[in-house]
Amino acid sequence: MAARIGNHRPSAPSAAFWGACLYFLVLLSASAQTAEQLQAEMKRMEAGAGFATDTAYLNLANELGFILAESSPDSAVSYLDLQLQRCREARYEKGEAEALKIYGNALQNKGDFRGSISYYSEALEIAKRLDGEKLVPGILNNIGLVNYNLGNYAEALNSFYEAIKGADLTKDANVKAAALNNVALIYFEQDKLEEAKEKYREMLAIYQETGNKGRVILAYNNIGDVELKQNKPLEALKNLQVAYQSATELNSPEFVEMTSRTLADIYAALDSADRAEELYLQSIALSRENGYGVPYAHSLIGLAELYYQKGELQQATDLAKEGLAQAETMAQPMQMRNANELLSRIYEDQGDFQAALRSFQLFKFYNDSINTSHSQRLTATLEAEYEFSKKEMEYERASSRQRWIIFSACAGLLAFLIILFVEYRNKKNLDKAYHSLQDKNNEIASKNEALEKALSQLKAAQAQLIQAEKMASLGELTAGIAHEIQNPLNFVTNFSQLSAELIQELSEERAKKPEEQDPDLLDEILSDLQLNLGKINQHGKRADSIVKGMLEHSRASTGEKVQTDIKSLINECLRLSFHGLRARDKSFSADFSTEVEPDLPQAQLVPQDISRLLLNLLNNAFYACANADFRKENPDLKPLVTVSASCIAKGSPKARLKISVTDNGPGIPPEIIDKIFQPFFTTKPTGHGTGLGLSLSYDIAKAHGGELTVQSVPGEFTTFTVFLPV
Amino acid sequence: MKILIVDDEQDVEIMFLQKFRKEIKSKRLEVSFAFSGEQALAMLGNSGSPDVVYVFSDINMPGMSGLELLSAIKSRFPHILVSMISAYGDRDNYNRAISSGAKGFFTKPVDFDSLKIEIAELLTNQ
Repeated sequence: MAARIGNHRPSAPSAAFWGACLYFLVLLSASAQTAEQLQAEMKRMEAGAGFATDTAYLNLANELGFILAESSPDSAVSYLDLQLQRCREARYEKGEAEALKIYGNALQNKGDFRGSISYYSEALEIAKRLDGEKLVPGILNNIGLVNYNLGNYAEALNSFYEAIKGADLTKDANVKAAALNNVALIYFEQDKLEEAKEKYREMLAIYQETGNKGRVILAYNNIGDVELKQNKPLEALKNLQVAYQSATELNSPEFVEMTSRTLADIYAALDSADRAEELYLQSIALSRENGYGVPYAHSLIGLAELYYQKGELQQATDLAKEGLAQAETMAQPMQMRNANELLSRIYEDQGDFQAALRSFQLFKFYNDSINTSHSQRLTATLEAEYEFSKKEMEYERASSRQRWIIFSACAGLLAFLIILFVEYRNKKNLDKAYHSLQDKNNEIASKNEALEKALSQLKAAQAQLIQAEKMASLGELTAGIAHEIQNPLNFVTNFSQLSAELIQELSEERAKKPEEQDPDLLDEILSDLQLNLGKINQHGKRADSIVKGMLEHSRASTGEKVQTDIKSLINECLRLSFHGLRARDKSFSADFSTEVEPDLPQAQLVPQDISRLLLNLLNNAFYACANADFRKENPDLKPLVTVSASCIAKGSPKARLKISVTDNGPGIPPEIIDKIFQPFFTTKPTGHGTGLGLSLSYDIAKAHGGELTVQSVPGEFTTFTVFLPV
Repeated sequence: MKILIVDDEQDVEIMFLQKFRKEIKSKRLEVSFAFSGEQALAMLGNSGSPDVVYVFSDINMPGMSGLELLSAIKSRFPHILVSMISAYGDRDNYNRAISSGAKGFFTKPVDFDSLKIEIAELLTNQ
């Protein structure tokens, strides 16, 4: 016979007897307090003020109520009325729910199932409001038990199912195990023995995990019970031996009794009459001693059967009658049926057929009644089973879904952690890279600073160099300029001298007698005088413009563009350059020519800069074709510098002034032609050129939005062409 | 008597014409002008046996310089007298001119008095 469990409280298991053939076990854990201990503790607390609202006190009162409900349901009811009132006054909902549940237990124990249900329902309502719903699964389990007892198997299974689900959520292993036990009980009744065993095994696993020794024994006992019913006594024996030994070690009379009785049943089935007898006697002794009514009846009848088998009819009769009496007291139809069946056989063997018939009739009555209720229950359970398995499947699905969700969450978490790790590493690497980058940045910044400093120094140096170049070229030009000033001055001098002589002549002529005077001569002298004065004026202006040009040249460029007559600029530069070279090199000899397009438009340019550019080109050109070495090597060649100026794309927005300076010198070797515009590049001997002339000329052309190009055929000519926007 | 003046400055012609106005008028002196060495040589060369007896040449000229002209004249027409007139009367120019066969060396601005003496001397010797 399987035992079932209900009416839980965390630390004090329940004890109650149930109809039919099921036992409700008393399972006292070591830490549980007895009613006396609880009462003493409560008394102590009652000395303090406001104890009635102290939740600790109310919890203790509930524990006491629980024990009372199991041991003395009648007195428990009035006690619990008071307890409920206290909890309500203290507004202690958890205590109230607990008290309502215990109330339900008490009523259940009294047999008032409907009343019990209403208290449980009330308790459930409050428990559902409480945070975490921790009390809910236990209450549901108890409701299931009531329904079970009322024969409402469908509702019972539903409640157990909800209890298992709730217990899973609240991680209440005890309630889950109890509900599993109760589900197994229903399977057991349906003769679905494998399924029952499976649920018991689940229960066993839970109790083994929580270390509840008593419940482990119960599980083994129930599994053995199932196996016995499956007619597998040897397997049952193994489980019961474990259970019996544990019970003996635990030294708990309840468990020793229970396991010895089941073990006895097994040995009886195995025809080990002596072992069975021994164990039945132990069960009987313990039951009598502790007042375990139903087990007492069970073992008495079992023992009677044994004696009957041995042929000891008198003893069998006595034991069977005693067992029957006990079963009647306990209103146990199963035991009454068994006892009557045995007695009818005994009476028959003894020849007392009348008594045998009476007993058989009773047996038949109880048997029918059991079968009827059993078949009724079976019908109900078949329906219930369908509902239950449906729910179970749903639950399984839900929990597998949940498992899937948990698995996914774990996988997600893992992936997240991996990503986190990778990110962390990346970040570390990035940090490292960032730091080294920062270091490099700082380095670059400081280098940059140094470079900027160097650059500004270079710029200053360049400005100085440009100025120096300017001065150097001015120096080169000095001779040319001197000549260019000297010439007009010479004319001024000579023309003024001549004019003085002419006036002298004029005076002499006029001193003559009028008839001797030559009027033609006088006219001639006067017109010559006029001419001379014009020439003096002209050459004076010429000198003046040269001095002005020289001053402009030596001045730093203002960068201001003015309308400039290109033709006169070219001529001025050409003469300056030529005479400058000539003055410095007596052997210098070169010819030059200009091909300037008539009506060349004036150009907007910086004259100082462009004249510097032209002077550079011209000096280079004269130097190239007329330097002493080149002329010595090419005595037949007549050095010639040609300057041409024209306007290309005239009239269009792209109109440009094109000025070319060509010499018939040796040309520029192709290997250096790319370098000639580079600063400090020079082919002249050290000390004879700064190497900045062409570089500066190039910059000047660019600054005017123009271009400076070179074309050269070695041995034939070199042409520098400057293009300037008009 | 014919003399030739070589100078790239064309105003020199006016000065000479004024200065020797009387001599030219009296046909005692004939003055020709060339504005470059090349032109001067051409003028001398074209006339076959040139009637020019004296050439006065500037030194600093584009193309053929006065000194080159001096050498050319001296090699082709050794009997023609050549004197240099230059703004740069430095020793180097002077020595080169004299060593190349120049009769005299005059500086600019032209000292017409000494030039006149030179020509008067020439006319007298004729």
